[in-house]
Amino acid sequence: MEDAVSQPSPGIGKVISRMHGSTLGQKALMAVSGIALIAFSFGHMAGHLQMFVGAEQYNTYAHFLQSMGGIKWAIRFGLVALTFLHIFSAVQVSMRNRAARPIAYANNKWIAASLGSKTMRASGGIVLFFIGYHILHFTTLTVGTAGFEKIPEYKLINGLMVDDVYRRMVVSFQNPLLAIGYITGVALLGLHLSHGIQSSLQTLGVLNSAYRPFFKKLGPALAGFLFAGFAIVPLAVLVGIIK
Amino acid sequence: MSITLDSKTPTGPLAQQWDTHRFNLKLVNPANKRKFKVIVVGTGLAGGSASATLAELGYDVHTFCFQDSPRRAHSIAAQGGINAAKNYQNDGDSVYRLFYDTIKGGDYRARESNVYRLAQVSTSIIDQCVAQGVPFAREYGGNLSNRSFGGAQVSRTFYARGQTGQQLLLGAYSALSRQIGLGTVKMHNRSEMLDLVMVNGHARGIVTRDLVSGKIETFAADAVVLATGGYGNVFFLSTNAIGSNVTATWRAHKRGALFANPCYTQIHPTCIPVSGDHQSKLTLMSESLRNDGRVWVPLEKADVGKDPRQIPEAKRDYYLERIYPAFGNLVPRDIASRAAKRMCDEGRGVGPGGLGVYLDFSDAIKRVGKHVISERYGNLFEMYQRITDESPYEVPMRIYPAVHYAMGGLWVDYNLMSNLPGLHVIGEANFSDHGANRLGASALMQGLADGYFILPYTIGNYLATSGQKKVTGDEPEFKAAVADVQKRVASLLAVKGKRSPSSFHRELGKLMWDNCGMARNAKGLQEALDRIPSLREEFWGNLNVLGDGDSYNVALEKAGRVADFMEFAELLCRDALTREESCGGHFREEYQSETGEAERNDEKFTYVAAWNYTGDVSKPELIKEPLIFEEVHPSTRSYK
Amino acid sequence: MNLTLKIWRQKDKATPGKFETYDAKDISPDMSFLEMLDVVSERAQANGQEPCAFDHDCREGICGMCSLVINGVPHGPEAATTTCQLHMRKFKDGDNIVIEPWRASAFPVLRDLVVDRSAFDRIQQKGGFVSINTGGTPDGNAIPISKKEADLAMDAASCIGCGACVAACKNASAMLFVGAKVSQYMHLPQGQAERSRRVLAMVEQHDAEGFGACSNLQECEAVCPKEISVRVIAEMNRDYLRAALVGTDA
Repeated sequence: MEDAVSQPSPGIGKVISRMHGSTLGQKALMAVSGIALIAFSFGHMAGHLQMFVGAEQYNTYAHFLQSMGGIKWAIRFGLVALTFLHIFSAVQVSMRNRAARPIAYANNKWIAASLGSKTMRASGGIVLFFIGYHILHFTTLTVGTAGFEKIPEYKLINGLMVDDVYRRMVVSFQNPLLAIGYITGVALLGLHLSHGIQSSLQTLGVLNSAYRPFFKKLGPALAGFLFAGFAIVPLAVLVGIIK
Repeated sequence: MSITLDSKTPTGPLAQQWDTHRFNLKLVNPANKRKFKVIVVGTGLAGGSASATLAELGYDVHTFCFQDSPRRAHSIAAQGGINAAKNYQNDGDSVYRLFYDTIKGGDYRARESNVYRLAQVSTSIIDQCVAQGVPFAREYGGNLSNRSFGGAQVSRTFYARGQTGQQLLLGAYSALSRQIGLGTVKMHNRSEMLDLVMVNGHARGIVTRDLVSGKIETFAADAVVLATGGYGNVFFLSTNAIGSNVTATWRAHKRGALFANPCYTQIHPTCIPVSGDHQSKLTLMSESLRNDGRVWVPLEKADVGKDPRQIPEAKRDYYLERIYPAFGNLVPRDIASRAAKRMCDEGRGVGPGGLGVYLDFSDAIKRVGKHVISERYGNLFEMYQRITDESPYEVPMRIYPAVHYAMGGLWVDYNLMSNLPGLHVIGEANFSDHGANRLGASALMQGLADGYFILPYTIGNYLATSGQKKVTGDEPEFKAAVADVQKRVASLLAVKGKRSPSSFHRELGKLMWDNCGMARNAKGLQEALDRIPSLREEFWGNLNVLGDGDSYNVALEKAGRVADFMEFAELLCRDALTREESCGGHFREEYQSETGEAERNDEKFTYVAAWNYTGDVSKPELIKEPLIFEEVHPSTRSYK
Repeated sequence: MNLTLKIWRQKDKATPGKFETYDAKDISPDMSFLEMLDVVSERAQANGQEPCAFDHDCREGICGMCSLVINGVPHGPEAATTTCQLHMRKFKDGDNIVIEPWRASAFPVLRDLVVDRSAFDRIQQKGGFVSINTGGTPDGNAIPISKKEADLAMDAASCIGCGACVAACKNASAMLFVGAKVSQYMHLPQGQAERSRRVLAMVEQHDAEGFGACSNLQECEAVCPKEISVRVIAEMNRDYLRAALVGTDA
């Protein structure tokens, strides 16, 4: 009996429409964009940690980034696109999920879900807000720039005059409000990723039986590491280690 | 009108009968098969496998089940395994040995031809299920694993942990699902058959009630297949599912189908004992437990109330090992059940009401270790603990026999067709293969044999030769059947008395268990026959069913099933009273040896008792199909 | 023991339901949860109230028909246990018990606590099988299957299709159910021929039925009476992506 209607190998159009139309496709998009953003976050964190080396190192690094020209814009565009895809797929999936249970339970009890997993939407939303503020603050210099005007350009050892990004960071984080806001933001990022890392790996089917217990611990550990890496800079400024 | 029964048993040597018969069966041209509509009622192993296979062959199949999905049928609850004469263990098994064991296990009350065929196709079943993706237990080398089961001295039982029935049923359900997806089977869930429609002497349709909407509908077809399981719930407490019922077969009986050997009811030896009046069902613990568990009771009555762990070895009576040294704890079910009853009757039973015996794993745990026992029976032990709050790793299990399987059922010939042309009956619903007692792991075998490998051939012969005109469902016979069903539903609702359907069911069940249970005698049976009609009268005078017939009404469903049990119970007792011998699951106290073993009367009772409905449920007509043994000579069944 | 029950009552699919309160007096701790409901229903019936409808059949934890969200947890507080196997000794005298149906748009309520789970059947009909007909199959031992793979297949195959995974999931997703079926066949040689086709078709039907997406919260695994691991979801995800991106037999 010929019941398996054989179709030609899927063309790219078929692949996109299938992935776009299915929960697993949407989830995979969310996972892949999420992992890419995580990768960026680690790079970004590594950059920040150069604050501990000193102004020369940090400003050299910042200048290097600034001078990348087209590549810089490509990366920025890529990050925006990834963020958009991440949010777009999250909204799509969330809308579907809400529709899947129109009547809520009168009595609802959680058994296994972690705090991070239960708060993904909230933590994601706040992190988005935080990133927006972060960009307006340090990239476009639109908000929270009190004191920036007094910072002179920095002269690198090679004699180049560059923006003193190091000093901007120190000035900003000497304001406890901004420091705490920043720490809160990265804390929520950590919370988001405490579920996000292992969840994205599960969604992509990477976790087989042998690796699952390891990744179940690795996800929150990486998230914690990321949080610590980001939070330690404003903390160091606040307590005066970085001046 | 008297009926002569033709079993259509083929002639010639036993081993060639099925081949010869298949060759002689008329075939339906492949292109014509889709023009034949077949109704299948029930989606257990038999109904599910038959529906799928008939649809694969090209028939237009309409399948019905009362559950919310065909995957729920009670075959799913079978735990232990399925027999097949594969001889994978190289321990001397063969088709003939399986045939022999089954005939002997059935206490020489089954048809040789049917049983031989069953043993023949048993091997194909395993192949079929493996190909479907049934995850049978495997050895490290990748081969199929086997275990031993009661009533056999070879290891021929295939299993999937303690969930063999589930896995086989889900295999059949997957095949059925494939056909539903292809549109070749139209599936009707939550739909209960309430009558059979006969047109021109042939079974041509059914009347159903949609359990959600309450709608009464008719379905017309060219043949009807009943795969509606057994009637064990006539005893109220049994290992059957709560919904299992006799309604479909009973309605067919009242339309003329003969009911065969209703008194052959199997009492399963290893069930969890009753704990109180609220009990709604009894839970079976797989017979496979007897592979490692040792059954015992205290040697002396004085020890009955004691903690079993404190009773020393010398004060224990491992009665199965003592009485039946050859088979020991692995004697067939009927023997093990009666022995347990005897111990309890002697006052040596343990647990509430003294109705229980110990099944002790401490020796096995010492021998092979707790982890091995846990691997073999872990899920059963957990289930036992959930129900009783006791751990079998620490304290011996308490078990007691409970009603389990119905060997009796609608009479069918070698083609699995009843005496009503077009009405086929398969699986537990028919009477055909197990005689007076079914061996463990044989029910799954029979259900799948009927559905995959027997009915699909034989039904074609009927369809090719019946020469009946097409029916549409508008014939007067259909209208009359609908009117009957509507009237019946209305009358259940109209009583407006005081008692719930369940309370009647409970009372009937108790009466049946007390008077027609593990052991029966003429006096008790007569008493039951006197009391059932009056209970039935009270039912129809004092039943309380609230709500209406046009919606989801659980009490109405239940009431309809209880009403049929009320009538069927009488036939069961009458059959038990008439059969003045002890055989298999039917033990008459008057007919036993000095040591309490069953005594058959081959001279007078080597026949199938097929009962014909005469219009009065209290006056059925007995029609006998003599059983002829050419291969195996009935002897006293000995497991000593 | 004496208990107070708040039970969801609903006449049919179209009529909105509501909670009603029942006193359950003199309940034996040895009763199963459903036997307790039997008793309460029986008493209500004697008082002229229609008995509460709930799905149940085998009452030994294998048919998958029983359901009920009991105090916020599908199948109640005991792990790895169906409602029919839950016993009243797990509750305390004086407890309040809230009993609700599975809630999911893909599982509409038919009456009281009874929901329509035929969406599961339709998912299965799309690919939960091996496309072979009866007969003509090779010997059962023709293809060796390692014990490990057979055990993994069996772990997945033990799904009883009760729907507790959907009930527990905050998104009413049925991924554990679909994953279990996909995983069973994935681990068996017999399932390979249709491997890609199966996973694509079953996930597509899952979505079409209106189940939500998996957020990997693992609530399903926690309530599953057969303790099916979310491993099966990872396996399904991997197979789905492979099939969707590079599948050749789709």
